[in-house]
Amino acid sequence: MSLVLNGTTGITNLPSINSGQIGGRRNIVINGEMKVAQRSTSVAGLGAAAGYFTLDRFSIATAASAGRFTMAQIADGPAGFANCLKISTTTADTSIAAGEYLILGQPIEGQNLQQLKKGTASAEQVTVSFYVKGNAAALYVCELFDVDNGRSITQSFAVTTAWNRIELTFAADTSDPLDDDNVASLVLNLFLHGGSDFTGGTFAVNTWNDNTNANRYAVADRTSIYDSTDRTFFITGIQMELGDTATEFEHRSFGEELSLCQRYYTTSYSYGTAAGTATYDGSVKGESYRADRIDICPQFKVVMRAVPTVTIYSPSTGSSGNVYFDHAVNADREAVGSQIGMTGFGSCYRSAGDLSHNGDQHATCQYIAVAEL
Amino acid sequence: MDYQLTTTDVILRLDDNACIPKDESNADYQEYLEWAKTNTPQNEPTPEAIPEKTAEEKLAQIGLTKDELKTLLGVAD
Repeated sequence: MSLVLNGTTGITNLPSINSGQIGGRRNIVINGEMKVAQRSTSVAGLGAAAGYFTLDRFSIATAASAGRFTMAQIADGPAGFANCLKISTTTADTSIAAGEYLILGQPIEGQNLQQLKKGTASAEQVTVSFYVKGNAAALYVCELFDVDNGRSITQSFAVTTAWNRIELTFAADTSDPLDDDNVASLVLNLFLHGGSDFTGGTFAVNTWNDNTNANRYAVADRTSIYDSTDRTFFITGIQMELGDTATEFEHRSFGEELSLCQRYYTTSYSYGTAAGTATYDGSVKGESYRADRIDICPQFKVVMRAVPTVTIYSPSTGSSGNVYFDHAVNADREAVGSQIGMTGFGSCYRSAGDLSHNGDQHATCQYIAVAEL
Repeated sequence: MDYQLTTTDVILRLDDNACIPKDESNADYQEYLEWAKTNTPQNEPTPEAIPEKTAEEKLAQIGLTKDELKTLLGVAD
């Protein structure tokens, strides 16, 4: 049957383009094009601790392994993509303990997922797509993990030495709705390594189940990214959208992507300047009329997801937990941020150290504010 | 990981001097609450006493010297 375009009746014989959103904002993932790296573009020696290290919104979850890796934003990608995230193993770990795992993930707020209609009779399928390559053939697992209800769904994907687009359509889940709030409801996970606590069960392909850890990375012929120091993993163009079709990647401008990321991490430093750098560029200034209080009251660029954790730095020395007094004292003074809200913080208080400057000081600081999931 | 109470409305994470607000949606505060189930944070430091300003310091604060003040007041040495 041919597609018919008719000036009176419109388009006919077109059963489906995609059951999800056709135009406008489709990609639920933030920074899927690997454009924004506010913290750093490269960090070595990772693997011991979980957290956010380089590319915004992409977290590392890890436990127990002796394996170590470098995580970096590099200028590589398939046609149309300037950057990707690269993981390079620097310390191999072939003696895998039961509790080990390494997951690259992006947690997503529940209020940004209500269109999935999860937990209803009209729940939607979700399609995840991305471009990957590696140093050699490999097999990993992509997982949607429902944090609110402790459920998960998994599919494996293969990596080759050339860029390939992976397209994975996940089944709809008519059980257990996602909370409509500002905390993590769903995590898009990429399992790259796991011990028997995560591999000892039975791998379920594309089926929502109450979570059983032993099943999550139990796919046969799985790869451990820690199997060799030659091992690399490159990924970009991550998109998660409603429906059963992987549409073209939705490119966003750098400014749009940066604003989306600043909901979770923002800083007074210029883009590309690491926290703790000794620089006045972008610093915020105020006055101290009392010995214990400094009226530095910065407003964040966007409203943050939650009341953030704030770290202040001296612009003179880069020392954390300090502001710089540049009138008469000309030195760092210990301080803590206070009256922190989702839009800024109200002041800094000097709760420790030498309070003998008698107030009346110009004060300057840099800051980072973190409201990650 | 270690934490310290402060005289303000935040908890100080001593590893990196991060100021953690007491907000249930903040992941660092959740981590602190877990930690505090089996650990005790350090007490807030006692601020040092603030010395009273000397007359000279008060003058300097408004940008006057002793001699200028004397001139203004018509007071001879």
